[in-house]
Amino acid sequence: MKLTLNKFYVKDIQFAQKSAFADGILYVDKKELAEYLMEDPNIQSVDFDIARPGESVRIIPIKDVIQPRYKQSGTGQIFPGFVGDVETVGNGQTNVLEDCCVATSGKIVAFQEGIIDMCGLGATYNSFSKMNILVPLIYPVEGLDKHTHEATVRVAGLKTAAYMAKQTLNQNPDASETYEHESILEMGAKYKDLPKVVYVDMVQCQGLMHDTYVYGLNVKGILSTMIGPLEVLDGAIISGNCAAPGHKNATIHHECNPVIMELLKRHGKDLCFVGVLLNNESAMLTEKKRAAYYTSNLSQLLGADGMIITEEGGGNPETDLMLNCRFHEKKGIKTVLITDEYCGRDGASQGLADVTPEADAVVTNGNGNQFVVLPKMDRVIGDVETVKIITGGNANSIGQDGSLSVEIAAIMGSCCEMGYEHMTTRLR
Amino acid sequence: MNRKGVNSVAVFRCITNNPMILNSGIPQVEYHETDVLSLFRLIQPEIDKGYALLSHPLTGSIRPDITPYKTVLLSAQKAKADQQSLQLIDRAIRYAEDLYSLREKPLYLMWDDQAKKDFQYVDLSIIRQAMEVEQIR
Repeated sequence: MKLTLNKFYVKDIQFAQKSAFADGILYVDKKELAEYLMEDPNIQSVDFDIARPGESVRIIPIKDVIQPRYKQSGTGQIFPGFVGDVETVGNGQTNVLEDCCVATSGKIVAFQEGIIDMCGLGATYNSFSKMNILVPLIYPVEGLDKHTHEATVRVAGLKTAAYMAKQTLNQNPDASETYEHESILEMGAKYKDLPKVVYVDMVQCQGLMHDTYVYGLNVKGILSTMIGPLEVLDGAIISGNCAAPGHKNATIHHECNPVIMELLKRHGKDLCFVGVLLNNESAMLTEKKRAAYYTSNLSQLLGADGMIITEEGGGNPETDLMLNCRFHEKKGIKTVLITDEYCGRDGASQGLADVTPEADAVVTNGNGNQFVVLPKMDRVIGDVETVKIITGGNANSIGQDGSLSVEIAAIMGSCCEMGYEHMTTRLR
Repeated sequence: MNRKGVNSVAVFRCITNNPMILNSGIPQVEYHETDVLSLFRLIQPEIDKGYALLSHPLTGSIRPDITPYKTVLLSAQKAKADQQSLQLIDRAIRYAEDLYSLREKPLYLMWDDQAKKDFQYVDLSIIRQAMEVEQIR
């Protein structure tokens, strides 16, 4: 398969009478976009707001962050199973809005998390604060159950992202990148002397606000399976994870998965990137064992020499991470684990909830317990009141000057366990 | 894990501090009005006695110092003490102790009634999905 990403750099988003993309400006007709989203009868009303880099703006609460993409050519459509029909993606050309994202906001439950600050200290902890952000504010019909509410907000975000990128259709991109990925037999013959590397993408499926979707399917209870890396870039994996914002994998992390991007770039040069295995993180221990064993079976069938394994969330997923590490190493397959830590204010506490002696190559992406004081912002997008009930802050802990004392775990994507942000580990 | 005799024999013990579990229809509930860390400490001697963990004590993504509620499934039958269960509950206790000590007053104490109900609901959703996937009831 071959996929070209056509990149369009967004300098600004502006509301206008007609939606269009011209000279780096994305114009959005709010009325037309609202009508599109309100095709969903579960939405009572919808409004939009814009946040720009450097503005004194805080967005809270955030459920998902999505990079706008739309297929220019090839089979299927972006976000198959939600926006596109259930059809193979990952080929042809896909238009991508760079320096731009959608951040969905909405109160599904009474406790809230997920901050993006567009300036100040908080802005140094994620890449989203450097992007032009369109925020759909989704107000559901009364009496909607929480599962449907979550699904409504999730799908509205995906539709918004697709609508935005659709404005670039048939235009010349600012840049483009093409990625190729052959069949396994073909690459085995072509790159027979290169080390065979497989990527294990652990995804969480445990219940409300803790689920992940592949081609529209909630992948709870699946046996570990394989997916083409180019399919992932076309939005085949969608996040339904609304808890633990600092280290859940949002949809944008899947679309731009840094491990996949790096392996694709090095494929055929110094390694052979065999493919992506999806391993479900279940709440049940038997499921965890089954998933990790089955993943290691698949790795062995694929002839892997080495694995990169990324985690989603923390606590129980550390057991999935360590089981995968142990089972692969016992089969003679070298592993590198990517995670983050909760190791206290001073970094001295136990950082992971599970460990194994075979885990001798581990990359951390930060300490979620690191405390920061975020300055007051002039404007809050979302629900101002939620600042009082976010994790790490309450009515009493908000400073008299309006500053907010939180752990960086409350900041969207701050410790992303795919390595999307800048905090990482380097050998000295 | 012991999954035999699904329809006729209790295959699990449901240890919880979540009041919503009491009226959920889930059988074999053992309710304790306590916090998550204390619940883990109550579970530890049960594992010493030979009951194995069926679910991970740290289910979900909401940290034990943030959510006031947790439900843990144990095997209904005793056997030789399960080493993995012993390790996991020990690590979960240390993990929770460290997080509780982050602040003078742990975060789980700050929530209003509506937030508490939502934490209960999320915990129930997780345990229901776990039972559905594992086909235990």
